[in-house]
Amino acid sequence: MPFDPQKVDAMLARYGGDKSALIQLLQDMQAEYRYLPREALEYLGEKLNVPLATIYHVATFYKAFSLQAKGRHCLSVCMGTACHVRGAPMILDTAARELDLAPDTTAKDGSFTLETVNCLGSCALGPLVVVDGEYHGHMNNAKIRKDVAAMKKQEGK
Amino acid sequence: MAELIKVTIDGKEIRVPYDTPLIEACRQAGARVPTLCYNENIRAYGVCRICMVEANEGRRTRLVASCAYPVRREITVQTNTDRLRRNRAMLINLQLARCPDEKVLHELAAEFGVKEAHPRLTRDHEDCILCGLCVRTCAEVVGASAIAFEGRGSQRRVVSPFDDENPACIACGACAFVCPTQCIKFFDENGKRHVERWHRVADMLVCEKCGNYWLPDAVAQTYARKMGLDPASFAVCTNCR
Ligand code: SF4
Ligand code: SF4
Ligand code: FES
Repeated sequence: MPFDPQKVDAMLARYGGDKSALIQLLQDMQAEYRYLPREALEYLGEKLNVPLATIYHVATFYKAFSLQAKGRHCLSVCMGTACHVRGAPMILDTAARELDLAPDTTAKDGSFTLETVNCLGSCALGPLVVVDGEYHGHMNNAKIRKDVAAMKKQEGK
Repeated sequence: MAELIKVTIDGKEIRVPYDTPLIEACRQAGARVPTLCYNENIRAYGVCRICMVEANEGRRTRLVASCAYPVRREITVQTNTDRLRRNRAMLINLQLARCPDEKVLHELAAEFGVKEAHPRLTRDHEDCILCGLCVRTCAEVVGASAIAFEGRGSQRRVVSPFDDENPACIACGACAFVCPTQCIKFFDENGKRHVERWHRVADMLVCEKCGNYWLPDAVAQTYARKMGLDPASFAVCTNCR
């Protein structure tokens, strides 16, 4: 999704252009683009009259913000304690191998993102993987392979 | 007349104004307190903890970072006990694990009897001890706020935004001046000033008389604005005036 200054203007208007709303603004931006585009942060700095370095500091401090565009398809493997003891590391390994991606990276062609998260609060479903926003519980190697294959198919791979 | 408060440092009694940073009181009393992230011209940050002292305000003795501790009531301070030396040694040890090659740390290590960094902790060869002096100088003294901390925990670094050139940097070199490890380098070449660590390449002004490049353009503009000077007053370099 390309950066659109009007969208950022609308977000700014919601908080009356208030500097102290920086974190809320970044959250809105993250929700809109699923990452924080550099142009958008630069534009935000100008509009709020906040140095880019300050915005960059905040944007890189919180794990909820990402500066990298996510892939069209996203696999989040829960590494929380409960999932971990039930085999999340193995599932992550398998996903990484099948996607040929290191954990917490996005493929160069923008197709896939493989990320780890620390507990999604659904421990009873563990080991848990979120596939394009859908919770897939009680994962095992066979299931994750199937999920990856389905994602690849959608990408025509 | 501001109220003066009694401070006893290593047995020596002095009086200082309310809100004096404890470290300044220690120095006034002649005690040597090591620091890594303190500069009296910049707001205290309290990250390195090397400046800790034992302070007692009547009830119990606590370890406090003296740079970030304002004197507000009568206080008794020890600056060089065994406990302090042990704690400082531990901090230096951890710093050395990240930055095993830094001279400032080796000097402190020698002073506090640290032989070497914990071998199991040593992983990196960083040149930045994350004191934040550059970031704070740039924001508070220069007013440019061109650089910042990135990330947190073991991923923490000081960078220009996106680790790329930031036009907000006026290439003044103040950050290089305050950096305790001297890891920020800059040089002038072919009419440009390069501040390498921040990827900054800035235009320089030519002196009308000698024809030498002498000052980054943006520095002249900033000085002019801050001090209400005519930008034209930077047309001639300091040597030719
Ligand atoms: S050289 Fe740039 S980063 Fe360093 S203090 Fe000056 S403006 Fe800030
Ligand atoms: S670059 Fe230098 S001044 Fe800046 S945080 Fe690192 S050690 Fe401190
Ligand atoms: S000098 Fe006081 S915490 Fe660093």
